[in-house]
Amino acid sequence: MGRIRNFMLLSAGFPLLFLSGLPSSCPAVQTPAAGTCYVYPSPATGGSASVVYVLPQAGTVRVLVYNEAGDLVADVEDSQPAGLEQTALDLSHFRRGLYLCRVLLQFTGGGAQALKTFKFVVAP
Amino acid sequence: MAAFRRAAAAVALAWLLHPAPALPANQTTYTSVYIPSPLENGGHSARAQALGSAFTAVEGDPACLYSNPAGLSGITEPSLSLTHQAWVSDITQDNLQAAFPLKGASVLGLGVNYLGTGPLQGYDASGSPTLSFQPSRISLTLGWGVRLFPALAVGLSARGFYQSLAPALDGFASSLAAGFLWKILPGLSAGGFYSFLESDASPELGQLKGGLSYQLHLFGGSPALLTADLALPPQGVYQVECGAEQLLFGALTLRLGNQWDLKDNQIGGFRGFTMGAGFRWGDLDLDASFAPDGDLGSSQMAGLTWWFPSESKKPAASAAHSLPAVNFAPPSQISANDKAVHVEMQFNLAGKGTKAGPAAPAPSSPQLAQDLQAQARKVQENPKDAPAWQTLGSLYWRAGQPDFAVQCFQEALQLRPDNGPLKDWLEQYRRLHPPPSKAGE
Repeated sequence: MGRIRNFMLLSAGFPLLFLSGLPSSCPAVQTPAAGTCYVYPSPATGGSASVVYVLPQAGTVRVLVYNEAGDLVADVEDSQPAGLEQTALDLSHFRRGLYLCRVLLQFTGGGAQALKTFKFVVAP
Repeated sequence: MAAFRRAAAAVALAWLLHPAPALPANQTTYTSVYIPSPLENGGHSARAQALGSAFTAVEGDPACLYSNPAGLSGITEPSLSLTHQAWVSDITQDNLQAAFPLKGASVLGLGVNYLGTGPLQGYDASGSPTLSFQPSRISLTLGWGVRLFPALAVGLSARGFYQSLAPALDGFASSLAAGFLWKILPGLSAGGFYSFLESDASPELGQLKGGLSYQLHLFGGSPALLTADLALPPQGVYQVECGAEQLLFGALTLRLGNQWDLKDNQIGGFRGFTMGAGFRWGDLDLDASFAPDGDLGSSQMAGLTWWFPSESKKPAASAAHSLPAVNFAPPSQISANDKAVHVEMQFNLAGKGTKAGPAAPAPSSPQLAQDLQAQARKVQENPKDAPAWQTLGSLYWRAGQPDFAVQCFQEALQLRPDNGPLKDWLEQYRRLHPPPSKAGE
């Protein structure tokens, strides 16, 4: 049935985006202020970008990307340990423009947190 | 051949039903693509936003330049509008637009829009902070609406964009749009609008909308305006939009609206509901609107429209959409001492095509008297000019001569029986001021 779903999505013209959690191994990545997050590079060029955030506890991270019209264009779920982490976004199917991003944290031990909505520019 | 088809179908079915490999847990699924300049398509008007952006079948408002240029045809007076919008994440829009009625029942619209996103922090590929930058977009729109037939108007518009996303990341784009407005029945209109964008986006990334508007008498005074639209952005989130507005006390207009996404857009919180108000102060309209967008934030708009002072005032389809002209009270506010006399034309307009009678008493204001004389000459020169009759009626009304005003309005209605707002107004007037024969019963 999963194949049927994929077939329907592809035949309807909806591209799929794959992403993966990345270790925060890059020393240059800045720790965002409490309750916030950001995307780098900014402007996002080269077809990919990373969302950087801090998890107080281990849990699931959900990254929602909206276009200017408020339409959802990407929905990402990622399991991450506590600490400074990042989630990669494949922007190869994004068109040039301004986007809004929401990051929702769901902690394994219970509780949730929504980080401040931020905007970023994609220039593929 | 049939066996081959059956075999192919079996293979296809087997492929579809075969268990697919598990997708990565962090897979992202696109549910729509980027729609260029969606904010600019929002209407640039606090009135439009308060009505849930259901504005496709509305006429007589300068904001029709963006929602459906055919609606420009309902504008009878020049106007200048300035609107400011504050959206989520410090994104703002400012819009300046003007409407110029031309000869031949056509109206020209012009709009300049600036969208600013506020500053964005730059980061390089390694995540190190760089210089901040400030994306922006400016557009120039030119539109034209014309009434082809009494019940049908069409409109065209063209827009050019210049967008600067970041240093060395800028470019131009352009779009074309066409719309129609069809008065199906008195008070009931249907509109359609399609825009086509020419840029690095695909041609199918246009904007398609259809809608209805209806004037409904809920209270004794002006009718309420009800609107409903179906927005069909290709590959975007389809929406049903609706709105309602009611003029109260001759100057205050209250508006409500709603927008329903026809797909779960994963935005929590309170959203979809829109509200706003308009206030008329002389030749100025002040409008404000508020549209919460759930967890994303909210949008607020404030607008100021100046209707150029002239002998004829604001069009019927604006905030006081039920009245044939501005600056005179609705029937409910007419003094009980006013007489409604249903007689032949009485005012003295010597000349061909006019009916002679005793002259109307001179108005108190010298300027108004001059305007009356000038407008009477216009009617004299072209007795078949319905708008001229309506303007003359408006002037008589302002001069405190309702009998003559009503007669002018009747003349205008005879020439243009499709003028729904004027017809409604006259009906209200007659209800409140029945002819003497009926009043004496």
